[in-house]
Amino acid sequence: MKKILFLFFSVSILFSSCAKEDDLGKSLIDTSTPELNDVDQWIRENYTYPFNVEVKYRWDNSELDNSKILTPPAKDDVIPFLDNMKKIWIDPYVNAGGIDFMKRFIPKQMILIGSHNYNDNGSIVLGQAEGGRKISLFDLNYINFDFTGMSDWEKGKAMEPILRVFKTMHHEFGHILHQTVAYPIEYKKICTEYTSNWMNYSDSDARKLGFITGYSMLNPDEDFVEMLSVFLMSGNAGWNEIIDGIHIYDENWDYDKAAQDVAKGKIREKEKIMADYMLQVWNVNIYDLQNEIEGILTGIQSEE
Amino acid sequence: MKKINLYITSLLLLALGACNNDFESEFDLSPDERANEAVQEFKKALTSSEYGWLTHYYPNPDKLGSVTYMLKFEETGTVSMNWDLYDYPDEAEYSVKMIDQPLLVFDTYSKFSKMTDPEIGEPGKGYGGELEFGFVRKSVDGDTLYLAERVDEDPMVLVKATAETASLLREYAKHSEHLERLNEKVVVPFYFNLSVEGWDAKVNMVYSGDKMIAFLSYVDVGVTMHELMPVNFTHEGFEFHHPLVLNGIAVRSFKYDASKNQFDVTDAGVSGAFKYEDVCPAHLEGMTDKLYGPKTFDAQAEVFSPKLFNLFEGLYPEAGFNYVTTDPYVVSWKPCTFQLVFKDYNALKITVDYVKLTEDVVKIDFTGYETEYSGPFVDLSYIESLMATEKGMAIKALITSDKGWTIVPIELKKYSSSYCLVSNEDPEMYMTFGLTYDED
Repeated sequence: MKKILFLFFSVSILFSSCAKEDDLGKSLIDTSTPELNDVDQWIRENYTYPFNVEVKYRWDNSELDNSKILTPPAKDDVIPFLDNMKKIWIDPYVNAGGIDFMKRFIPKQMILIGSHNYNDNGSIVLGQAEGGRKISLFDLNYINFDFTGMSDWEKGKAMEPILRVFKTMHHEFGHILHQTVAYPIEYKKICTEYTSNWMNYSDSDARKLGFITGYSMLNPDEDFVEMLSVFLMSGNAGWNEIIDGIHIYDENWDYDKAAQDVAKGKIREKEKIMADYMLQVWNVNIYDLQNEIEGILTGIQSEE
Repeated sequence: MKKINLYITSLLLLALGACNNDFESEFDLSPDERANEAVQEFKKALTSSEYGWLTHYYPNPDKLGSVTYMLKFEETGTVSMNWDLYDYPDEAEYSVKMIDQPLLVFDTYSKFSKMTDPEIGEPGKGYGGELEFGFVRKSVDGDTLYLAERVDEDPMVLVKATAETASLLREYAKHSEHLERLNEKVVVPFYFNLSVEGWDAKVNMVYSGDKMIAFLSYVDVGVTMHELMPVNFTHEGFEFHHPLVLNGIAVRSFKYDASKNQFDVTDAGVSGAFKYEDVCPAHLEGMTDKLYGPKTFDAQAEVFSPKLFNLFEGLYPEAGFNYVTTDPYVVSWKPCTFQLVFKDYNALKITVDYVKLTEDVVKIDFTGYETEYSGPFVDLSYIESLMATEKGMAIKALITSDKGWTIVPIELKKYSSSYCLVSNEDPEMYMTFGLTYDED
């Protein structure tokens, strides 16, 4: 009896629903093509069409942390930034890992912010990544790629925010890679001093313990991507200089060579695992990649 | 049986309800059509003015005054702009969209974004302005648009500009400079006092250019009052953010009269003016302890009234006068020095004691001179010879006058402060100090 009633009930609904063809009216979704300015067009040609990436440079409160005080980037700064990001980050990875590799792993949405992103304690957030899909980059209004008339010292100062922001890109991209295929577990056993109080360690102090930066002491994942990003942005000579520059003193203020060797050895061991992982899993030779990026950075700095 | 009845009732209700198509909207258009219309209407209003709009935007009226913007919205989605601070035309992208209301959004960085830039104003927090503004209403004649910040809901009023507005905007900065007492050429007494017919009190005003805000002090019915008043400038003078009301008489707008070097009240039916006077109408409690107390050090004055600068200039024949620096702690562990620093960075050091006379008056007692380790002022007799000249004696007499110096704060903040030190001997002699102030 229940089954019959249920059947009757369902058929009644079906017929009453289909009794009349309603006019649904105009769609609520605006599917018209927005007007594209020169920046929008450039983004389409260089990011959206080749990599399926949406770049948002206009102010959109819904994409941001509303508790933060931020400003959008200047329109004139957008293309130079994205152009250099392509040169320093995307193109080298395309050359190293292939276009399909980059198409697959590049974050599909990039949010550009002009101002610094301050935390309550006065520290600055350089970039934020959300699940490998969206990345927010800050400080665009403080990055200048025009070195015309600058002295070498001024060029060096102008390069600092450039290196910082693109190191952030390599850092976040590293997260996407290791979250897709994990790096060998042996990496996590090399150092044991991971701590949530990483901010109490300077880069110099961290290196004495076998970490490349203070932030890499947070956990093995941050350690791995810090290693990758510092390695790629330092150039071969710069990278070796960082490791050779680790000095540890004994109680008599003499070099403690044994301790230095342990610290350097840990970083070199991590470098080897990182290089093998990138080559075997992603077919990316990080030494070639480092070399290419170094050449691009040198070229940017020598541009007049 | 009961269940069967329930099913049948439900079926009947469903059948009857499903066929009921008689709902009539209160509106002719659907909600999304009305939203779209509201957006179009807002954009049309913004782009309707041939010369754009003028707005005195107060990014944070609790703490800051106004920056005046001239904004010209184009159909293409760009807004060209200029502001009153200095002449620097700028352009940005803007959009009008429906979020929870029709919103004007300043999309890309421009002068307007400086109102939300965390680098400008309070560190990490900026001026407290916003980039999104809801449309509230339009005046009947369409010459005024009333907008409100999306979050704080502080108003932004756009007034239709005319062909002259762009050139008139360039008049604003001179009034700001006037109130800030920068590059003063005319010798006037320090106190900038407002007298109004019908008021019993005079109101003293000190203006902070950094925050575009006035610090008002007056005595109302025997009670000393202090008030922060945000200010906006006009091509004629300046305006308070809201009226100041005493004895039921409200004043808000002032126009500069160059012939009298004063700002006349322009509010209808009110007569009065801001004039430079030698009378301090209201004193401030705690200034000596705060600004000459144990938490103060390294005070430096770089802005001087023309009369005081002329007094210091020419004392030292080798170089012109540059600035004054001192340790303002009244009970210092070592002799305080009041140093006249010259353009060659040699300093003539007068050792002094700071003595608290009243809550806001400090007296500077002369105790001697301190020689330098190098340069011309290693020689005490050379210092004494300079101070024995007519100019030297006048400087010493002024600095160490028994009447002391009145401390008039410009702004007080956590880690540094600025204030004026006004000679009670001669109120045409004053200097502006910035000092490091240790709150901890």
